[in-house]
Amino acid sequence: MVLSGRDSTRTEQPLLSVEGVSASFGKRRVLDEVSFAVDSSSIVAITGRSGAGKTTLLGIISGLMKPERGRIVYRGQNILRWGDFRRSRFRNREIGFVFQFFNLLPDMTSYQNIIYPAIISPTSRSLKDKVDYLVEYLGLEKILHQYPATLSGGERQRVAIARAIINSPRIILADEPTGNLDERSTVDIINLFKTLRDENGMAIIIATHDSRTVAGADIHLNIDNARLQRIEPPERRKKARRSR
Amino acid sequence: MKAFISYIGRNIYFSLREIVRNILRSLLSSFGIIFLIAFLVLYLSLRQSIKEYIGGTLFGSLDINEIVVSPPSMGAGELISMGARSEKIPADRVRRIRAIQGIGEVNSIIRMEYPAKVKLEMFGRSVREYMPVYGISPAFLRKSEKRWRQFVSGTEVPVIVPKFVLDVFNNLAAARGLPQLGEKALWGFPMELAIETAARGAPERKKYDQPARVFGFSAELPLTGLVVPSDFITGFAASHAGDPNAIKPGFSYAQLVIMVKNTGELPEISKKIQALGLKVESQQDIAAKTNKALAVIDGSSLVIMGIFLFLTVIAIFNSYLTIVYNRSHTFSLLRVIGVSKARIILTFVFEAGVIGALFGLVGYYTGAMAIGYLKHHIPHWVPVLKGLALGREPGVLPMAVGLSALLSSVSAFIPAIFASNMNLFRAVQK
Repeated sequence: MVLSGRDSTRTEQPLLSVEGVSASFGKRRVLDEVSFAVDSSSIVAITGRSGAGKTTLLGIISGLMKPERGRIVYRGQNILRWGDFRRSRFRNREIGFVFQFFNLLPDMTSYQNIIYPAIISPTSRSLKDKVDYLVEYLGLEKILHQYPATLSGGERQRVAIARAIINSPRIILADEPTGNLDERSTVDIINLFKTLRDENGMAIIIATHDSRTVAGADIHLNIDNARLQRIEPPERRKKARRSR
Repeated sequence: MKAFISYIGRNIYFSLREIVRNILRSLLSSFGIIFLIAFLVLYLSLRQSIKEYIGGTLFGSLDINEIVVSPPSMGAGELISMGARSEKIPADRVRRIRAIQGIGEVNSIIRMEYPAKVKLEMFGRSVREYMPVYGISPAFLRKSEKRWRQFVSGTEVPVIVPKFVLDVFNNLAAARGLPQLGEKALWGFPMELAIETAARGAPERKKYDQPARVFGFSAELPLTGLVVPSDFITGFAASHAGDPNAIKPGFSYAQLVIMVKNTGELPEISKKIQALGLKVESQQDIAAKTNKALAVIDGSSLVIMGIFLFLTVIAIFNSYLTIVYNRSHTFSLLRVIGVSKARIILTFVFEAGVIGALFGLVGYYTGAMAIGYLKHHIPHWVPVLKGLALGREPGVLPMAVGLSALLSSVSAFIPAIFASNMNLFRAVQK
């Protein structure tokens, strides 16, 4: 696969595991002993009310925020023990971020936004090949040299996804990626995530309120009162009832 | 390799892009540096020119084995004038000094006691002015004047015009509506010395017109009158001692420059001369005085620069802090996509350094302009300082640019730490 060029075969060890993570804002506890594991080629949807701690959890997984307790184990190593330089490198090489409000730099063209993460470390492959592939893959040909202000929400999000995957990460962290999109664009983005999962073996962790996004996920986790619950999809629940 | 070169190219492109994008804001924030650097450039030039000015005088160029002997009421570096009659070294003391063991050559500055008028014909007008006349031996000039051996009396008396006297003369000429003349115009200029052997109020006075010619100019001699070879004055005094009401002995000693044979004996010889009631100053004393004067200049300049520095640092710090918050979204995003804290700090500090260097350049040329302005105006404001040669000092440009870049970088350091420590994930959420 042009994008990753990495070994994405499944092993016994999960790609990422969150172990006993607790976090608070002041006296308010937002995460309490949260634990779950994420494998390659999977989509995990995290739901919860506004302020439930979804974004905080993504911040902790990426190493940008530190929890009070717990471990974030990536391929057998606790990233919270790493120094800033190594965690930054981890974010740059192993994680791609997608946000609700896109977070594109307004004074840069789509092309410049896409290659921005590549200023940090030299890429093993030709950047041009990668950009060419992504442009075709995400259908960005016509908007490549346009500024974000001139793009629609769906187009902006596709540029943001191109930026997120330019360094071929193993994990994508998406914070409400469809929260600002119309129905058609929402479906497009969900399908794009599925393609990235299936064709590139990426693990995608999505914090969302959107039921269609949840429906497309392999695992559904819900944060309620700082606690994380795993919610079985309705089809599986039906299957389970029938087998009883 | 190709990918790495492309990576370096991308980094340079994005760094320059950030600098260009934020240059106006950063420039405004670093505006104070201009004044600081301009003042620094001016101060260094002023300091150096004062040092050279002092060093360029007779007293600044004393050798280690030389001492200057002056009348007790007068300092070595002061201008010798006709004003106070008490400012002279009695002849018997001079004889006793010459007799001290260990003393080598004794060069004297003598003052003609006869009233003398300088007569000049300029632009069809005649100028006649009383002016003090001093005598020095040609050997006195050997350090500064290549033609010193030619400074001897013939049918025309060679005259050296001290810079101070030239300035006074030009001021006088300007007051009379005559054009001011520079050294080039006056070089070899003919004149007459009208010498009266009796005091100005005496009932019977004899006058002698002595042809003279401008031999040269000197910034070293601290004298308020014309300078002629001392043998002319002593010879004239000897041959006219018998004139009615003649002033005797016709000349006095204003200052002596003594060479001590053995430098080790200098303190002892100084003591002996001081015991004669005279003032003695050596190179060390004058160096100490010069250093004291420079310390005053340095001190006051450092206080001014310190204030500028403090205000500049505060202004830059404050402005960069604002810039950090204005660009918090960009910094947050950089953190999210994997830029380390160290790299954010380095990039920001580098950016500030580039801006600082640019301002250092502007500050340097502002200072240079101020030097140019003062160079032309100081002689008009303070004629005595005409000899002050203000100029750009070599090596100041890279120092100014480097210092400015350093100052800007240091001031931006703490804001850079703030930039790298923001609550990044929350900022990006907005």
